[in-house]
Amino acid sequence: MHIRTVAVALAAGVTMSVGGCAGTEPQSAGGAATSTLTLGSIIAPQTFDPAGVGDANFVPYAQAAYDSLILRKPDGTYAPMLATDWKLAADNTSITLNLRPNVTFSDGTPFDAEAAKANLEHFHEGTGPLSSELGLLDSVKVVDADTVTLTYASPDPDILYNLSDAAGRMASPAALKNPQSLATNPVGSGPYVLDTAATVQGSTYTFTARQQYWNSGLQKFGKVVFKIFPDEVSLLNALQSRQVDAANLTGADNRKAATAAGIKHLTPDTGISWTGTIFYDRTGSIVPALGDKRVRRAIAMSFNVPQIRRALMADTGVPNAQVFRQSSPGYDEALNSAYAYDVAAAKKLMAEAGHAAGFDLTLPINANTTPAAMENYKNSLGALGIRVKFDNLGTIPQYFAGLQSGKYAMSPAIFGAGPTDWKVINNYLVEKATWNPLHTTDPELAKLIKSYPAAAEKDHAKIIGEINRFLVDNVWFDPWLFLEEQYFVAGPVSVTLQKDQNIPSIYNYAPAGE
Amino acid sequence: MLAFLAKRTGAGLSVLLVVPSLTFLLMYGNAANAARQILGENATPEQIAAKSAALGVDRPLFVQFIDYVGQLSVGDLGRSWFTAEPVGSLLTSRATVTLTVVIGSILVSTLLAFALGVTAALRRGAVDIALQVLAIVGFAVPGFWLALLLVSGLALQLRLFPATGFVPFTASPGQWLASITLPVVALMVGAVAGVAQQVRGAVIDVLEQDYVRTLRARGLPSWRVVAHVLRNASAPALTVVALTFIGTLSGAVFVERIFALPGLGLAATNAAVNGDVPVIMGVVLVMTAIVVLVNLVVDLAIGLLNPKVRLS
Repeated sequence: MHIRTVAVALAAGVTMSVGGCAGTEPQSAGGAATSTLTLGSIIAPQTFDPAGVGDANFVPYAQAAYDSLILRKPDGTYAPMLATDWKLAADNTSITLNLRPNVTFSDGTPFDAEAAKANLEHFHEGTGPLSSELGLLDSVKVVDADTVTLTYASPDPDILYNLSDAAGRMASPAALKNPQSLATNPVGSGPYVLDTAATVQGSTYTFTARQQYWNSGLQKFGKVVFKIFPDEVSLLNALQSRQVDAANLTGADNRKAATAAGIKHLTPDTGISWTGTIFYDRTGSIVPALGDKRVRRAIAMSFNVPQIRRALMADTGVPNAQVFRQSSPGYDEALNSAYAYDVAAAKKLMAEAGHAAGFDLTLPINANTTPAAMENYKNSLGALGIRVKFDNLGTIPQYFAGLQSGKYAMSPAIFGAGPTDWKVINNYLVEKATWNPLHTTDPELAKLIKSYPAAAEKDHAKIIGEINRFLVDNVWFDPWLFLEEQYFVAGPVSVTLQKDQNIPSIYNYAPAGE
Repeated sequence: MLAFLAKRTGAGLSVLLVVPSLTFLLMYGNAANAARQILGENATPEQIAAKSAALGVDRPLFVQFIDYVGQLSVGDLGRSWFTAEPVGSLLTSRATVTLTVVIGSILVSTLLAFALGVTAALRRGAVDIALQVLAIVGFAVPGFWLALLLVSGLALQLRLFPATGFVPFTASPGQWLASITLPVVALMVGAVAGVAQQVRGAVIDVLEQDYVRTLRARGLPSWRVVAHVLRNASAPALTVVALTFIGTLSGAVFVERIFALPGLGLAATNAAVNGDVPVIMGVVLVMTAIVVLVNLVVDLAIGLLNPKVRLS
């Protein structure tokens, strides 16, 4: 996804219900039939083509229109949805899904194995931001009208996650033939149907409950409206004036204002995005000194994270030194003190590595980098004698392009921790990972990574734990803080947070009292 | 008059050709980043290359330009790279919102400005001084600050108006009026001040002309004298109204942002931030056309009011 505007950790099972306000229509005795859920966001959907839908903020839009093959429950466990049951190969190389009969798409086309195959192939051939979810897919075989088997070219430990996510969302095969239309007018089997007459693209998306939806338990409202705001200030105004029922706010000032206005919020307790520093040059090919892990450790120890939290992060964020999310089985709280702030010890490490006099370092920044953030780098690294020169790469896309070009030895970072450990490995650690632009590899790490995909789930914690320790010991990354967000609920709705998602799934809202 | 019309139309058309062409060249030079922006931080080089090919931005600039002109010639403005919406329908819905607010603001501010300016010019003395002070204050108040005050006071505290959003007239005339009231007020205060000052100055200038004295000496009723004065004072005032219209069109960006109105200004800023070239091109085309049209209409109106302009 883009640089994360969001970085929330929302724990499973945390539910809040707030009552009494003007933003939502009054409920009838029947509840869902007439009630409206109005959600606010500053991110508009990019497309309704399932092959192009992104993660995070984009999830609820897609879920309103599309069912997925597998349902991911608020606690992150899997449950039947369009697939009634499944059999996953022990080595994660194939899965056979039994599909729900008598389900139709909103255009009347029946959902069956051929429809599932068409969708999976459409997604596999797509160029969307999550296309890697089926990157290892080799073939889809229709076993019978209600059964498909997916075969993978190599083990994929995220098969269930992916089929409960973007890769598993099913659109009408008739609509797939017209991707341009599908991009703005979704045709799914989901609980709601887009009301195009009441929709202004990029501004307001109105969905109405689909008649005779197969699972009324997931269809809690008569209408779901998504309102898009240009920034968080106007979104905050809409929350305060009860024009929207719920929204997440990332800005510390906006969160304070919302809280002061008496708007209730759900408190995140798991970090899924982090800010800090990435070391790309772990072999010293650009800056020879960084090839020594003592130097990388010294740099990590030069950052005063509590002060950064106070001065740069408005007193928000959870101190953290790991790239895996807190809910990962390999996450180890004890590792968070690995780079505790200690300039004297850091200088000693620099001297031991033969760099007591410091060295020159070019740090890439972007148009959004604040002077305070630049001062932090200059002062922290300056204390070790490292002379910092900044290279402003421009906009965020230009910045990312620059970082991935392999020109820089290290950079500031705000990154998603990844919804699964396998995605973290593929995004950051493998030799060709996007965020391993200098293609650093290590035999010990490579062996651990290789053992993961086909391993039994019970062994995952051990493998990820070892990978995590390797990364911290060798100082590949220097995360400072998990970012914090809060999800605000102003309207008379009950909201259940979704594990490892910054925005709750659309199924997790209900009229208050239900 | 026909030659005058042809000259003005020709000038307008040339602007309409040059501005979008320059914008295309400027924007497409940076279009390669759009694929990365769409795909996000974890996109691989292969994914970015595939997306760039799908968007067509991997082709030479000249080929892209010819392709775009070809599309335009059949009325196809393309689709947004980020929302996949046809740019034509996006502009239609967005222009409706922007023009509603801008035209509303111009109509109200012009009426008020003419009333205030003419009153100040005719009455002079304390009334003139008071109106001038008011005009200066109105001119000095930043529109965005006023907009924030209006939201805070009238929408959030008193709940008299909605804080955000636009309701189409067809959906509910009452809610439509409520949804545009604060944005129109925020936009019009500066416009009233500027136009009122110009109207006052123009009316005073005309009042000092010999023919006005002659009209009065011949015993014409005051209202007929004022009618003559207004006709002659209208030309400079109209020019200011036209400039104010164009300025208000730009000012609509902040009003749309503060009130979360889905207008052209917001579409333009979002598209610029994202690098959504088809939308930027569409907005530039529409905005240029509006500016050219407004100038043309004002030129014609001034030409009708003042034959000397036609001759020059």
